[in-house]
Amino acid sequence: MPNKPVQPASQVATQHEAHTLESIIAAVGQKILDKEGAIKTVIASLIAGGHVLLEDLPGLGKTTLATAVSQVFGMDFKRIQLTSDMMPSDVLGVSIYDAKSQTFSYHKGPIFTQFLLADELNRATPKTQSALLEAMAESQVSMDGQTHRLDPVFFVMATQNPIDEAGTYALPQSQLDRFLVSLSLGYPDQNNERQLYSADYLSRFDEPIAALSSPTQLLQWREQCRQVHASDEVLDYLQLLIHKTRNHSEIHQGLSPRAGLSLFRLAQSFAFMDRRDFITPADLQQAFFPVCRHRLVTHDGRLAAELIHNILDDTPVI
Amino acid sequence: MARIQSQLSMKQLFWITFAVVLAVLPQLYRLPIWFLPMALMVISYRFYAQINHIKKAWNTLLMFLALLVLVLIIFSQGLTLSREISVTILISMAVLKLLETYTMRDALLVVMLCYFVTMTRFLYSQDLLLIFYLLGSAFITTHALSVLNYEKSARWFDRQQIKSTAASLSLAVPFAILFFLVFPRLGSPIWGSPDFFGEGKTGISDTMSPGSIIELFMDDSPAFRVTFDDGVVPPNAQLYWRGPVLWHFDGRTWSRQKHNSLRQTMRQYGDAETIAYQIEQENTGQNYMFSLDYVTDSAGKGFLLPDSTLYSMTTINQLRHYELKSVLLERFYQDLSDHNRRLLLTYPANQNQRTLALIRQWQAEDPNPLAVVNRALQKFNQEDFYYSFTPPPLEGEVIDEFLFESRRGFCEHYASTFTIMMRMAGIPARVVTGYQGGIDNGEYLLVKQSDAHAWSEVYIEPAQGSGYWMRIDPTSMVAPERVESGSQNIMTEKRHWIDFEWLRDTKESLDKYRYQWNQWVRDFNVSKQEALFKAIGFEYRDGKTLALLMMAILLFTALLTLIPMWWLKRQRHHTLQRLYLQLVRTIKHNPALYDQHRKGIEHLTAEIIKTYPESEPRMQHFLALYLQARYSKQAPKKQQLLQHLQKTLNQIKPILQASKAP
Amino acid sequence: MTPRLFKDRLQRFFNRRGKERLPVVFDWRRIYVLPSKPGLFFASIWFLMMLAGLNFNNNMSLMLVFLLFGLAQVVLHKTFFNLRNLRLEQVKADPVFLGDAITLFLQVSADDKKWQIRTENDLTDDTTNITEQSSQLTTLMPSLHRGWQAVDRIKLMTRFPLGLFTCWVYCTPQDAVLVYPKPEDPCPPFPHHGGREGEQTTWVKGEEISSIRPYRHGDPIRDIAWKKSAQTEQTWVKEFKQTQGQYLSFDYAQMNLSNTELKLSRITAWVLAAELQQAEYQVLLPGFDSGMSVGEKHLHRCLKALALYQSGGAS
Repeated sequence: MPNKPVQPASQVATQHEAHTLESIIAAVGQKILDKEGAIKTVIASLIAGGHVLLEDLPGLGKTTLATAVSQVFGMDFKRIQLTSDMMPSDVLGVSIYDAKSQTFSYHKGPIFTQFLLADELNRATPKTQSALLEAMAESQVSMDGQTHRLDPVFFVMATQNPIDEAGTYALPQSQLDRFLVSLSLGYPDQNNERQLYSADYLSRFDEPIAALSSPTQLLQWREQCRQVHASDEVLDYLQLLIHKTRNHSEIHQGLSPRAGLSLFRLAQSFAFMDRRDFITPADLQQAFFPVCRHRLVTHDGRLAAELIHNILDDTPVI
Repeated sequence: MARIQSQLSMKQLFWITFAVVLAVLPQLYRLPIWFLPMALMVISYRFYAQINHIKKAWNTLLMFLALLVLVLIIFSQGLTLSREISVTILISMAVLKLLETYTMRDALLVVMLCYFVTMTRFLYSQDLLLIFYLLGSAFITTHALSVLNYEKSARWFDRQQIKSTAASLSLAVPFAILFFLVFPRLGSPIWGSPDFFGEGKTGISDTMSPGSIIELFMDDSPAFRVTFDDGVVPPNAQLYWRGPVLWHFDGRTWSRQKHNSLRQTMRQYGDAETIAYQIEQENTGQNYMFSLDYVTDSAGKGFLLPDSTLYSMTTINQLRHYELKSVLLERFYQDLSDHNRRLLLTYPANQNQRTLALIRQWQAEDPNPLAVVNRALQKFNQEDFYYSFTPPPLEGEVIDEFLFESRRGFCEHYASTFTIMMRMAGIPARVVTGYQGGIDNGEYLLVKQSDAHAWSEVYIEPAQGSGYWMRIDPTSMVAPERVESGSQNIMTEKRHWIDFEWLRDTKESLDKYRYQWNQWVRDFNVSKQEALFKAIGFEYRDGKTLALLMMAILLFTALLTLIPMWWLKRQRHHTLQRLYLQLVRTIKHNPALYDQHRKGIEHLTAEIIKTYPESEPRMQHFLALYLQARYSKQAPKKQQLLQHLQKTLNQIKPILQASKAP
Repeated sequence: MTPRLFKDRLQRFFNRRGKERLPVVFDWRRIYVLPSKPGLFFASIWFLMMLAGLNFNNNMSLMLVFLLFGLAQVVLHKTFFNLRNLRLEQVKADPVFLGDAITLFLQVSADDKKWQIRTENDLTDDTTNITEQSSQLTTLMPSLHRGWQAVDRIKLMTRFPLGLFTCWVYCTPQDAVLVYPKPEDPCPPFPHHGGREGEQTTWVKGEEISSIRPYRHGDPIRDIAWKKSAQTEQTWVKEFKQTQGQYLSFDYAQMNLSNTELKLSRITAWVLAAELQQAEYQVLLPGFDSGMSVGEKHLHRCLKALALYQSGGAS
């Protein structure tokens, strides 16, 4: 570089974190090949303190991704396979009468963990679904008049199978709104798929990833992430994007204010990961699709993926 | 625009009616008495119909109504094809049209007629205050048009829309001014005469009876304005503005003598003795012009009658300007023919015997004419005569009654009585009417109608065949202050119920603006325009030049509005945006890349780096700084940062443009 | 130049841009301006006023006259700016049957506010304001032939704010609307089996109860829903889903009508009738076999094939 650029002060402050973040992404990327975008989104969502909805066919690496992320952050990991005969107590835990002490004692369910993988969420009955989602939203479990707080870093990655719809209960729009982002990994491309079968990859596959960060640090990051600044110009752009989803002729219902807030949080997180203490329009552009993907549907109930890109294309940033 | 056939909303109706009412209002005073009730009925019925959804009445009924109104107009204004009546018909039809205004088409018609109605008002008067009417009416009418065209909101007074109308009109003002100054005028009318529209006769008339000057005294409107060439206003006592001279007295009313000759001009006076002044006279609907006693010559502005009155060749129905020279003479030498002498010695026979007896008594004591004059003046001065604008009415033999009974009167009483007394004494005398005094407001001398005055002139003949006219103002014997300080200053009572000093003062100070208004607007004509053109170094001679000039002006004025609108409408970019657009322009030669610029600088930078990998370090640097400058919370040393950005951009430009060739 | 020739040339001038890909931005080069009818009336009144003012050298009248002239100038510009840089984003239309009017949805947008943007033609008119980036206008277009019918030239205009001037733009988008053949009316009976005509089709009453409705005079007693009727005061009748006993196959080749359009028209009617009855059907055209199915997707596939048969019947 002929001219050594002046390094802006704000970038220096987060350099250490960024360095760690980059290695985290790289570490997870070792397991999930060629899905850097998805990995970044998941980690951004984790830092933003929001939950992730993965919609994919089985066998595309959802579980791998989940374990990899939980390992790299050194988080407790639990997995529940949701089925239609599952009761809310199977998730949240149950109060049992203890005859000896003549009191109810609470037996914690799998939800009391740091990283929860909720497989096939749409197989659970609406009752169980809503119990789980309520707990997610409030980060606490209320039972028999007692409140039990969840872990402060509590993070849910729920999966859904979009194709096999028999015997499933589709999540209502209001419940979907509780997930910060939704994404789909999709098939890997040919080259990467080939790598999957290489001895190198397979040998790596079963090794757990060394923790590069910790839940404590994650909490710190969350705190720092909330400080990321958004200038008026950026907020204008954010509002314009939201406005466009509401006024689009083909979209059934635009983004709610809560969804707008999600967009803002995720953009903050992306900015943070990019070692910036301010949001740029590109952060919003990056955050827009995963935030809108499960929230915007067309009038006939289809996902409006194509339209989301159109909205982005139609909203110039100059 | 809504469809031409669509029905009017209440709001639209309101605005149309508003426009019509405002356009008609200032002409109400001259419309027939039945007009106001008719208009009120029409408007209330129309609103009643709108509220109750009553459909439009049959056309035959409306036609009948229109005919009825037409008959009424002819009945009250006479069956002539005058313009006066045309204007009345136009106004009545505009109001009546409201009755059948149910669709957009009719509404548009009514609204545009309002512009025309507004214009007709100015044919009667072009007073300064009417500018408010012009602007107000134009605004409301335009707004009515705007509301007809599109109702931005259901609110009756939509502030946004009103603002937009106001903006349109104010943008039109520079246009109006420019066009007003440069649009070619006609030297003389193609048809008709502009004098036709007079406000009716005002000011001094050619007859005088008791009370006629008092009427004028009540009126504060300007009669004329005088500017003295050397800037020095003569003392008030010398400001006798001569108007019609009255010769004949029928026992009550004075009237003028018809002349068939002109007075000679006075050539013997040089510039030192004369006073040069310019008069701007308001329209009177009569032919009299006013001059200081005694004017040297008519200067081609009118006829100079033998009794030194200036008489215009045409009725003064527009503002009239003239320049005069006068000599302030105590004695004006002039021959008096026997015929005229006889006329000036005539008084109603067998009337006013008591006065006659008094005169005969004075003559017996001292037959010298000047002695009689002095006796008469002494009588006014020393006996209990009063100057009053509310004198008791005089009946029968007015001279006797005034001299011996009432003894309270205004200038016309004194002038009239004194003149008859002189005639009885065998001294030729006549009444001169005009104005006396004036208010010097620094720029010019304002003479108001309330300064109207009447005085006498007696012919003294020291030697046979050589006599002179001498001005005698008997009023000055009764109330010398009247002559010295003006008519109003001597009054302790109010003339009428709205007679306040501050109001008079306001009117007087307003007159300064009116004067300017007259100079620049009312009186703007071909010659002033030519002077203006000359002043800016342009003398137009033929139609071709004129046409070119007009084209140039049109173009210029179009730009005049276009530019501010363009300015307002153009997209505004701040410095950083402009910097980005600079970058965008450098890659304009690569359309695929250029298309990406709407997605923002970060996206574009990535694309540029993909296309021109050699630009990467600088582009990255530029991007980081740019984002920092534009979006971060505190941009440190902004000016410096901007300069650095510009420098970096200048380094990037050649890299991006170098790759243009392949 | 004859008027006709002149008109042709004018049209060619208007259409000189040919068909365009949307979105199209209407910049100043594309905007036409003429006084509107009320504008002409305004002009004539204005002219009279000017004559009077000039003739009598009445300066205040002239002031008003020039003020109005200035106003007209300003309004001209305002009208122009109101249309300038308007974007026609896209034109959307649902397929229609030949003979029905095509409803076009015009998506218009602009960076600033636009008022009273209007489309009008012989069939309809519509007005919109663009206050929030974009808006939609609806216009109608007659359907002329089956197959892809190109969208007509679109005229967008405005007279805002005072209606004295009309500013308009023309644009002929590349888009085309699918026009299905006109269904024969009344619908002839279905062909028997292979599609031979004139024979009665047999119907079999289905077993599945599809709904329950109030009793109507003439309903068979065995259809009465006794249980339900006992619970309420009304008498209810079970409605059975009528399922076609056999498969319906509409084969173009087996129809003995003279005219292609008539054949297509009849098949269209059949397809619609079959869809209405939820009967499975198949359309066979030379080079096209829809397969046996029922449902909206299937319907549109068949209709599209019918519409585009022999490249859309365009003349």
